[in-house]
Amino acid sequence: MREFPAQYFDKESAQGRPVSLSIKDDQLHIKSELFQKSYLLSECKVQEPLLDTPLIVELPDKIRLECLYDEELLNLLNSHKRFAHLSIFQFESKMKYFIVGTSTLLFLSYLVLYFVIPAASETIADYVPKSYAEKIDHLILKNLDRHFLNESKLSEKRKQEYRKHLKNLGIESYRIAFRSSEKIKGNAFALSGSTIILTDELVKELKNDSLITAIVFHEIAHLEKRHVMEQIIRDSFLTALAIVVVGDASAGTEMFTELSFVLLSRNFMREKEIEADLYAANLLRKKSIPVSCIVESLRKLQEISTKSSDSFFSTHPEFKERIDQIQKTFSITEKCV
Amino acid sequence: MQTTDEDIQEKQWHFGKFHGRASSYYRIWTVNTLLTIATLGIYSAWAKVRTLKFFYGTTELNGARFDFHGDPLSILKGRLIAIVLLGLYLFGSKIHPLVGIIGTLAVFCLMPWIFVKSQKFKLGNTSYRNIRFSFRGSMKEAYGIWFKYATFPLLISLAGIGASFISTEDQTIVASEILNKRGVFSIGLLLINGVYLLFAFSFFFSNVINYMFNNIYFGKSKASIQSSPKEVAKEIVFPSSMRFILALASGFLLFSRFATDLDMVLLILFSTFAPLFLVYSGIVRLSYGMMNFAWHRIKLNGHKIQTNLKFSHFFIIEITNSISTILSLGLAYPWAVVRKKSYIVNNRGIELAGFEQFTSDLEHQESAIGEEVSETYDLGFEVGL
Repeated sequence: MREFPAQYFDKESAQGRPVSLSIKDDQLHIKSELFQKSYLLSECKVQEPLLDTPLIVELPDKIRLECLYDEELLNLLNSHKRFAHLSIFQFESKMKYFIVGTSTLLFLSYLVLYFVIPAASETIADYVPKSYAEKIDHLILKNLDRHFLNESKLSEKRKQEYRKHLKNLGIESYRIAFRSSEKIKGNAFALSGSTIILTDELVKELKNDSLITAIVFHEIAHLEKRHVMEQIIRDSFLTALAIVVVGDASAGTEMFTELSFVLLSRNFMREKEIEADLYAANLLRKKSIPVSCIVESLRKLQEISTKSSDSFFSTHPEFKERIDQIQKTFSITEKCV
Repeated sequence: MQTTDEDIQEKQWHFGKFHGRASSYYRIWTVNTLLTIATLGIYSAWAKVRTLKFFYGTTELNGARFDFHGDPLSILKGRLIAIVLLGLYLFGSKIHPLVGIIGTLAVFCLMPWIFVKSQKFKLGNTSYRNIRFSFRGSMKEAYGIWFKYATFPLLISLAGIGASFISTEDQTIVASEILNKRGVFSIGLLLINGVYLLFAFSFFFSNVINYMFNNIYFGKSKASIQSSPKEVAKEIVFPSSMRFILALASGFLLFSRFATDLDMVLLILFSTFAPLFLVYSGIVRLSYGMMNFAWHRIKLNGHKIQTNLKFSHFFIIEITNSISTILSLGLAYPWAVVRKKSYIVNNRGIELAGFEQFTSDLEHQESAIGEEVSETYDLGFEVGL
């Protein structure tokens, strides 16, 4: 019967005594120069082992044993327990378990990041009341006005002209906010409630009301499908998760999380943009406006964006891909007027 | 009986020995990170305990190892409360500016309380040779130090927050004019706080270190430290400030008349690289200085403790760690941490004859276990062993 060396610490003094341990008849026997003791295995609390650390056994009366890690000793001590082999330590110490475990976890993490969190965000977004969304829009717009947007330089006449155009089409429940911006050229944004931002540059470049409406319909799609609200919720989840993960792993993983955020966002954005394009095309058709209008607006926007140097991290996917998708789904006969 | 034993034995230096390997910590860290993501953060409390247990359990001193006993559920509870409060604060401050101010004040008033609680938790759950450490600092003293030194910068910061709410509601005023005035005001406040920090840091740090380490107990034995603001200024503030000032000076080169010369590319490279490097070096020097300063002066039961670190070696470890962590997108992090810990632990020691003199304080342990050892609001006060 094997004997295992250990250090014995009683509850009072810091002096450790060298002892030897043996396991027999469901009991732990401790032997030293000065004394002999026995404990039932059920009385011994074996700490979950950890790589490179000693095996710790806590005994009644606050006694602590520190043993050199030995697999046989661990198994003997845990022999009366049923699920000891399913511990996390097994996954860390045995390469086989580690690879299987890590792969499973990577897969689970992938599921969580790419499916669970987005699905949860989408569902929650549907339940957020419009009044909350309006309040959030108010704050977002205030913030945008402070840093990126300036007052629109379009004439009041032009603005009212376009608003009337929309009203005539039966589109009334959305708020169009006109702004000008040097930083964000010809573009349009949907917020999370019912606000759509149109830049002066966009209005000037597109000129034609039907072309502008095509873009507005695209933004309406984002509003109706609550894409922005979904994104806000999803980003909050990811941030909270990042804080918790990074809070423990810290330092260099920060950059890793930032990068993963950007990468995750780009993929989501691409799908949503195409979804919005198709919704807009459908709405154009319902309102008896040629579908070619959205194709032409996208072409014009492409011209604008290639003129100004666009950054690599833009969220709008290839215009070509989007135009192709629309042309595939809808038969485009008339020209845009 | 024991004193005669000690008289006979000679005092000698016992240095720490770090047994952790990067390969081991990699596995622990990987499992920790992935389980944390898969459980949407709940596992993070267990991950934290496992990490501490690894670093404590791989630190050997005179044949015995340290251990951490914190209960993950307590950490989880504290974290959930902290996240809820943080969420309320972040969300509320977007809705109404007053929430931001109230939040800042609340955090300010809670800082000492959180600090003392986390010290009690961390130390009360740390043991060596089956004897627990404890932190016995009084709340009153903690608050005293905090209010004495932190009130002034707080008032300045509040003034800054207040100024940022002078909004441009009246559109007739040119926005840039307001921004200029606000900008100058903010920079002014920042400078005031900066100058105050420069002078007050020595006093503040010396007080904090003294408070912290004079209230640490190992069983019944007390740790002690004696430091003065002058020493802090000489050993920490001065070396770090020199680097920051040099960083500023080398940064200004870019804007000097040399900027129009042909060697502009080299100059730009130098003027951006040099300040960054110096600032980084200043920050490392600061953290090194603080750690070294404390560990050179602590005594346990009158026995000297020492950390024999060389800044040059420490800096090389830090900078290679940072670079490899960034280049590997974080994957080199476990290797970097083990490397740094190993250097620090292997060079830290205590001078004494033997460990028999230390006994546990069971009365204190009994009364403490219920309350201080089980509550923490885990805001990462990593002022560890």
